[in-house]
Amino acid sequence: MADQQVHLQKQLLDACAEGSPLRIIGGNSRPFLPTCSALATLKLDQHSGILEYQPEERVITLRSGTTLQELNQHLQQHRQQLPFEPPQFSPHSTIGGAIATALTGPGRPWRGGVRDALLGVKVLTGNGSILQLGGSVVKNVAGYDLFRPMAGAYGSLGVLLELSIKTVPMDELQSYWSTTLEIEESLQRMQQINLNNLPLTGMSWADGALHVRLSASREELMACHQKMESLNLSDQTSSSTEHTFWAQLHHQQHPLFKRTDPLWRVSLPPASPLLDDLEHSKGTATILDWGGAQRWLSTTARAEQLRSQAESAGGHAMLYRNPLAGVERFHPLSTPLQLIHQQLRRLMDPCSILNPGLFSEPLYQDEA
Amino acid sequence: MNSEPRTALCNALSKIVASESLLTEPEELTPYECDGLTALREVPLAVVLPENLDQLRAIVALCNQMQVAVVTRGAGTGLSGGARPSKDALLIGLAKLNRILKINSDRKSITVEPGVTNLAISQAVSHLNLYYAPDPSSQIACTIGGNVAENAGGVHCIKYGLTVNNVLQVRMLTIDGELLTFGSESLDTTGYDLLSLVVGSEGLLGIVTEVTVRLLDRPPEVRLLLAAFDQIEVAGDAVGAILTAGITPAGLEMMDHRSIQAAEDFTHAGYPREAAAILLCELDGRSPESVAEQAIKSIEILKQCGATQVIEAKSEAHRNQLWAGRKGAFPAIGRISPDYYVMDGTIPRRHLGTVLQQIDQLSNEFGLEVANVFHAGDGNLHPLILYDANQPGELQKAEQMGTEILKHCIEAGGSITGEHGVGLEKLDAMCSQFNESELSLFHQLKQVFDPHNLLNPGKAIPTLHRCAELGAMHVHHGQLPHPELERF
Ligand SMILES: Cc1cc2nc3c(=O)[nH]c(=O)nc-3n(C[C@H](O)[C@H](O)[C@H](O)COP(=O)(O)OP(=O)(O)OC[C@H]3O[C@@H](n4cnc5c(N)ncnc54)[C@H](O)[C@@H]3O)c2cc1C
Repeated sequence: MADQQVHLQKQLLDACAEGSPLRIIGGNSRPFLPTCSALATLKLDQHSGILEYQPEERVITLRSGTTLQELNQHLQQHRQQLPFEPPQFSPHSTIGGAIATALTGPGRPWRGGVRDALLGVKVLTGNGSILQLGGSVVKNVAGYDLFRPMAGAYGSLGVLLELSIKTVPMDELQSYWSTTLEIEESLQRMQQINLNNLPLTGMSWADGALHVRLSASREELMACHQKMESLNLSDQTSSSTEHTFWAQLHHQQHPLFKRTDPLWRVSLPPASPLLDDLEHSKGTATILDWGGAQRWLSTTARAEQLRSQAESAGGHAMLYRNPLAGVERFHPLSTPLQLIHQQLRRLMDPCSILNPGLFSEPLYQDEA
Repeated sequence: MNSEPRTALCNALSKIVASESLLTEPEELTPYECDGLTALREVPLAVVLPENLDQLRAIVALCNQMQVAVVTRGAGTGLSGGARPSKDALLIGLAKLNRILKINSDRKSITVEPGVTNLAISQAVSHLNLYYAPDPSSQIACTIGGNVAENAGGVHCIKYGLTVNNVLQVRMLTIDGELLTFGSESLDTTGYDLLSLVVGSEGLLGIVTEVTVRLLDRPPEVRLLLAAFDQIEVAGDAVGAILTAGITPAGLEMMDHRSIQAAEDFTHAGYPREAAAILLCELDGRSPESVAEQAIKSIEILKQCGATQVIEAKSEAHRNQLWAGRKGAFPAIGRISPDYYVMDGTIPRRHLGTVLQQIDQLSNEFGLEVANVFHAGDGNLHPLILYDANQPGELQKAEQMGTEILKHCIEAGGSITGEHGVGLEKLDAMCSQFNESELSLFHQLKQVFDPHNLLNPGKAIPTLHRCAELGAMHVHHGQLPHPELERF
């Protein structure tokens, strides 16, 4: 637990003076994600500690280098949790990394994303200034909400120093349900289940089975029992295999994440059908998560095919793991949005030293 | 603007829209001279009411070409002067862009034009048992475009979030004529989350032309509790106790003694008149069992905290009656005072008691009465300062008192606005919440979208000059930013 702000600011100013880019790292637990190639690093893991937490506020303010493990334990003591269930890749995973990469657990469609829980940040910009954007109250509409795009910016809009995040009461109980099902039928079934007004916090298809997770009070779960059975789902709440499945999905430890083929993350509108000849093609391993809105494809399919299909369906495809030479990791932006990205980036990091090269940014910017 | 360019502008506009959609005569312009913050008025250069996107695009292109400033207006219910016109700017009213474009029941989403009212969205999907959650009290009138621009909230935000948490996609026309799409119907998009930047930008970055929102299933079970307290601080503590116990009410609203009296006189809701404060606590859910369980727990907590009485609504009609008092509170106050000024600060919930006391003190100091009706569960205060605009100096006194209240909110770790926005009204207060670097960043951000400062100029973000003159620059850790610079 230490405040490294002054030290971090100095490191950044030195790098700025030398014009040498910095790779921002927290617990270094997600090195497989897109990152910049800079050798010099700005390490956040020592900048840790919980700064303010009053359970009745349902808000926590903490330094970005705090580990998810410490944070989760702390919240658990007060029977609260983060709403977005960030995956934890190792005991060193930090909350800063979780916010910067905006990855969420299986409950995303029902519980909201990182952007929804983030209330404010203290951020170190590329020119060394420290800004407070947003706040630590649940409602605040003063000024532009520049803090929200920090979720998912991979550090390229500034180094996250402190974060204020909404918390929610811990799930009282969970129940797990499943049935064997071919992938071709899975999306329709998920849609059917989704229209039943159930306390869903997870709905996924993997390895020939549909898995459903409910979170609620004992009374409410009991009340769902009959409905779930009439949907031909069987109660797996006491099955350890099922618990393992959900934990592996949440923390991206399912065997699919360990394959060596390129791993794509495809994000689609809810209720989208299967893409042509992709999820169920031979040689492709697939998990459908978020009721079908997030799809993991371990495949050698062509990037253009994936991207054009995802785009026509109203979504996008990110090359998540095991990169391919010459293929952009993030789904390319339209030209006008690309322009706004560049300008926004220049505002927050004028000399382009914070994790440069992400989001189709040319690595070496013209002096102009 | 002198008359020549004005004539040229109006001539050009008359070629774009039908004559009844272009207002130029003084008597036609008067109804548009203010928004919901009626203390601030100015007659616009002209008013144009486009009927479709093509017309809107042509109007914006014209303004860009002639370098005429634009003020966008939805329904004009804003409470911070965001849609207040300016004599040099064209007012573009979007009320006629009010078509529902697409309902997608499988995806539980709906796409509408910006002039569709908030309530009309829920009405359009009520047959599907779906609704749009954010419900500002002005929902029969305010538009979704205005909601996006203000990041509007409502009674049910505590459980279902603000506008930003319920909007999936926004199309926005920039001043240089580009029609941009932010967000999508997927749960995330590639690149930066620009959608969240556009929500709440108060018409300064572009004109919202289309909005897609997510819809929720109507909760089948709803219960409403009313708890009375003989001390307002105790009611404040009860709010914290409910949230600490892990209960998330769908709404948790507070009214003080004066509001209770006014509401009772106006709506006969059946509130306990003698109470110092009441809490309205709505609980909802999927099953009768789960809601009953929450209700039992809540009643117990409210009593433990010192509620003198807890009433549960016995029927839907009774529930509506109890809500009617809260929903009619602003007009009810309007009957007991010639004028009132609505404030909108937020604070961490645990400071409710302290800040309400400070407001009481200010009320004594300034000699102006205050009524409090607010979103207690969100820590979002709405002190209504009662004054009489016909008494010289009272409006100024009310405004000064408002500024003092907001200072207390910031000191308590809160914000100068929870849902009504900055507009013209809270420009000075912005100088206390943000420092010079933060404000400069906001100005630079505006330039990215609107380099010639034509969209709603002069609103939402104060100039650094204004803040320096006010001498109220944010004092960060006891130090002024850039102490080496001379203050003007
Ligand atoms: C009685 C009453 C109760 C209220 N209760 C609440 C409440 O509970 N919660 C709450 O949040 N607010 C409340 N409000 C405030 C107000 O209704 C909201 O701010 C609402 O979102 C404004 O919508 P509008 O259509 O009237 O916008 P307007 O007042 O017309 O405009 C508001 C701002 O948005 C901009 N704007 C409007 N349309 C667009 C567009 N299409 N594109 C870009 N910019 C645009 C305008 O330039 C202006 O800056 C209340 C107001 C009243 C009068």
